[in-house]
Amino acid sequence: MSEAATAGEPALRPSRWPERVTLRDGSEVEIRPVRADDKQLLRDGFERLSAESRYRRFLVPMPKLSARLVRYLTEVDHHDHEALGALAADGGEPVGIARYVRTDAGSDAAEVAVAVVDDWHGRGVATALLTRLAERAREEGIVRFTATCQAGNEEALDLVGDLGATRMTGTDPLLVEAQIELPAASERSLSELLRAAAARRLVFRPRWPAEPR
Amino acid sequence: PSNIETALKESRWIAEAVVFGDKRPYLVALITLDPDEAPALAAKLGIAPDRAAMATDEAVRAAIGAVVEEANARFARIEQIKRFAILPHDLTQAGGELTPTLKVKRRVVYDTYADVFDGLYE
Repeated sequence: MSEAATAGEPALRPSRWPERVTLRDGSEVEIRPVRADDKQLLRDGFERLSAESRYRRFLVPMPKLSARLVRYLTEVDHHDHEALGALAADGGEPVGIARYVRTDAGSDAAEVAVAVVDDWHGRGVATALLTRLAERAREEGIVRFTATCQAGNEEALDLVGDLGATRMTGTDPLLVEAQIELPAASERSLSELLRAAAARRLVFRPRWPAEPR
Repeated sequence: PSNIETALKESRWIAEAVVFGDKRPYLVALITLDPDEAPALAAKLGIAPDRAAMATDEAVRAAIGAVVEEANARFARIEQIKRFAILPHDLTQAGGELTPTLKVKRRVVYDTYADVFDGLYE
């Protein structure tokens, strides 16, 4: 059955996914890569995003999700474009999604985007998704995430700040463009630090691989 | 501006509607047609489903104009769209208008289509 593994194949090993994660309030999610047949799940999750959450994600209003967008967001190749979804462990409803898309063919940088349904805001879903997405990105040869968010989006700015982001110069004063270096496995683990940050055991703004306070 | 953008994008025919009017006397909109729905619109109007031709076709402009008028009716006069242009294609990643994760860069849209916007103020 298995032919020579192509890039992205290791991501799909059944033993690794779904990963069950306990969030800081005790609720549980299951995280796994998004599949092409997740279209209805994607639509269901989108319906549970408020207008404001959609605006934060796309930087424009998004009253509807076209079939074309649904295809783009689910038919990912797990190499240049990876997406991880979080489902409520109890009930299976979609609660969050994070993706990276390589900025150019062959680039070692990718743009990252996250969306969490409003009912699950503030529990650490985005952090849980981004931790694992960063590991996947490193596996696919990506060393840097870029993120674009609205200047007033405090949650997003805190999140990228906790990931050690530096602010890039941008031409639009209403947007913040951040760059996040992804540490190699040999350095202090990003996931370790993020879990600690999510549990509020650490407060830090280091440049990698500095020690946290 | 984002409220009327929401109203415009509720239309099945419209994929993107970027409204501008900063420091201008009225608001204008740059509109892209939903590529999957455009053939149905073309069939409804009895024209060829050619995106470039549809952008300037009078029947298409009338159909989109009706959507704009319906959206305008829900807003105060100073929030209404006075003029609009239909782009002959989708917003592109290549041009930087869309990021790889599909975020819309308004500033890039404005700069890229500056001529189109200026034309709406003549």
